[in-house]
Amino acid sequence: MNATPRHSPHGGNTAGETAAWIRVMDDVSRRLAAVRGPSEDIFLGMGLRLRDAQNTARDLVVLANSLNSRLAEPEFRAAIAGLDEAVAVVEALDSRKDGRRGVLTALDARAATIRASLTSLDRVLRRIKVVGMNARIEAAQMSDGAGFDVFTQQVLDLVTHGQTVVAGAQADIGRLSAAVAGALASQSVFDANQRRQLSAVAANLGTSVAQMRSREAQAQVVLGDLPVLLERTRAAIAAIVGDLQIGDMVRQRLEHVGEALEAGSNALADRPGATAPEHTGEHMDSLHNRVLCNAVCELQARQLDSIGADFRERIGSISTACGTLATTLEEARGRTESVYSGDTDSASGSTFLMSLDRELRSVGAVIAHYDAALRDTDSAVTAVQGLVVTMTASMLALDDVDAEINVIGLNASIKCGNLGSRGMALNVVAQELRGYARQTRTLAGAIAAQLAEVSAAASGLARSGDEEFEQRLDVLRGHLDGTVEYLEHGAGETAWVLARIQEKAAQVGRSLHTTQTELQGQMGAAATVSDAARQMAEFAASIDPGLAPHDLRRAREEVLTFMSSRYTMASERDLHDMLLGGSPPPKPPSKPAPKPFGAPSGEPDLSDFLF
Amino acid sequence: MKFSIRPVDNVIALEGRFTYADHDLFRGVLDHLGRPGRGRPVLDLSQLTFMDSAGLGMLLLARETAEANGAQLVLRGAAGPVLRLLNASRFETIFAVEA
Repeated sequence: MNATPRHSPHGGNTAGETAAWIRVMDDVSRRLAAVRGPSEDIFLGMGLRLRDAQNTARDLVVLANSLNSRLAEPEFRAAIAGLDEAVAVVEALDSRKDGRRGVLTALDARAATIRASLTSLDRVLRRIKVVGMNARIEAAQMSDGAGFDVFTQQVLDLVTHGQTVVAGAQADIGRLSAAVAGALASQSVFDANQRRQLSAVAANLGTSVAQMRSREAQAQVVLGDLPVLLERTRAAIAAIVGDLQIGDMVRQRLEHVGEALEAGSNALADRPGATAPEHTGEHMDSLHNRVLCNAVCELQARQLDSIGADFRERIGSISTACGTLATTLEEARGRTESVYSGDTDSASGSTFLMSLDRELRSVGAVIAHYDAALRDTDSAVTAVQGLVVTMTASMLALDDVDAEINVIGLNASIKCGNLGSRGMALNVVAQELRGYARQTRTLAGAIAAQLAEVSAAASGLARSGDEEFEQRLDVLRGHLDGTVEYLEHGAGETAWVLARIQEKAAQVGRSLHTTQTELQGQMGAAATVSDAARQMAEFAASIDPGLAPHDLRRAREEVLTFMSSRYTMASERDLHDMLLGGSPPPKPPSKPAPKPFGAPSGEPDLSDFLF
Repeated sequence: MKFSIRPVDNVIALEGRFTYADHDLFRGVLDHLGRPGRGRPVLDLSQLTFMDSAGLGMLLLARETAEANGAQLVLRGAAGPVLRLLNASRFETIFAVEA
């Protein structure tokens, strides 16, 4: 603070004292002017930044709204509905693993049984052949056994034919086993490479779909909250606008203090312009100089004290409002981003839709492998069905062989009966033949029955065995393609918009941070104002004219009449009245009501105030 | 998305699907809007069949570019899904929108 000049006792003043007083007032004027200019620029800068922040806040809300409204689109709903089905199908696929493999294993076992039956059949036919040979020998020993030659030859021919049929059936059952083994191998490959993943894929997909539902619900909440956040943003901006108005008034009041000090300085110097206004029409004499200087300085001390206090309060208020605005915008950005960002790598611009996309691709890969295994099984089923038909025909052919052998045996028995005791040995052979024919027929019938079972089991493996599931799988295949495409688009879209939101939020954050930093700098300006107030108060006290209260009041009234044209604000006039002994003015509301907003949306329009 | 510029009345017509994938292409529109002295710019959306939220974001960029150039951007002719998204986003609060 500058030193207060020495002065003469009450009454008049010397020319030196007057010069010193003028220097004090000029010095304070300069200090205030040094504060006022930069403050004006800073307030203007704040206004510009607030306008940007206001626009950015509006853009953020628009972007968030547009992104959220995409969640309500029919395509998104369809994707979610389809994903539920995808989870169900993958789970069903997982639960089907034992059934298909079990059927194939059972088929393999039945093929082994049939192979054993065919071996037995071949063995029986070999015995028939031996019996037929014995019968031929026996007939050759009989003098009239020529008729049996034809009989034994027929038996041998039938057995040869039967053996050919059985050999063919054995070859067929070998091919059937190979086909089943091929399908089993394919199934094993699927089991080894893909099946183990099914549970994990189903679980992951289920989690992703649940997450998507959760995000959707969260988005609805965010969507509902956004207007509230916007309102808070508006309120924060309106509060800052109100405070900026006060800041502007502070600037004007500092200007007025400067003018008052200049007027007082001019009056003391008795320079042109040092005269009182025309309505008083008088020059200041020595006592008037002291009264003038005392009154002007005391009043300006009060003004500066009031201005400094208001300045600090408004700076704090604006700083708080900026913080609230930054927090509100950050919350809007954060909440919108949380709806879309991925769990682990949101910083890279990934979104949860990308995770879901990956899960769906896994499902697609598993289904492709499942389809490959299914195709191999289908081929096996087709082969098995064909072989079953061939083998069943073979068994029917064997039936015919058995029937003919039986008839031949019967005829031989009749003929042996006609031969009496001589035909007894041949009759035994004929009976044996008939017995073997029955065995053959039984074996062939059993094989036919097993073949029917194989056929039925193979049918169960075919695609048509579970048409409903296959239809669901077909729908899923089609849906997966569309959904993956939709999600890829959605992931790219949200990543782009999120990046834009982050960029805008960061831009606002930087602006608000700069504003708050500059406001802290303005605390120094407020301190300068308070310091000037103290200097003025001390100076005014030091030049107290020492008049009686009545005379002092009258003298001050004259001086203040002279100054009154320079006080235009209510707060200044209140202080003016206080100097004359009036009561303290009521505290003005700390937050002036925000001015009506002219923007189409009803949002505050800072331009009206600032520019 | 495709776009064409009609210099006589400064109308920029967008056509097709306008999505995040058109970001690079849209630079051509921004370049045009950044050039001074062409009168009030109009974005004709009547031939757009679809627009995603990134498309909306690019419209905001276009507005900023036009305003930096001292011009107010007008959106014209939006219909169907495009208009629905504009309405859902309350775009009328920050753009001059014409039918």
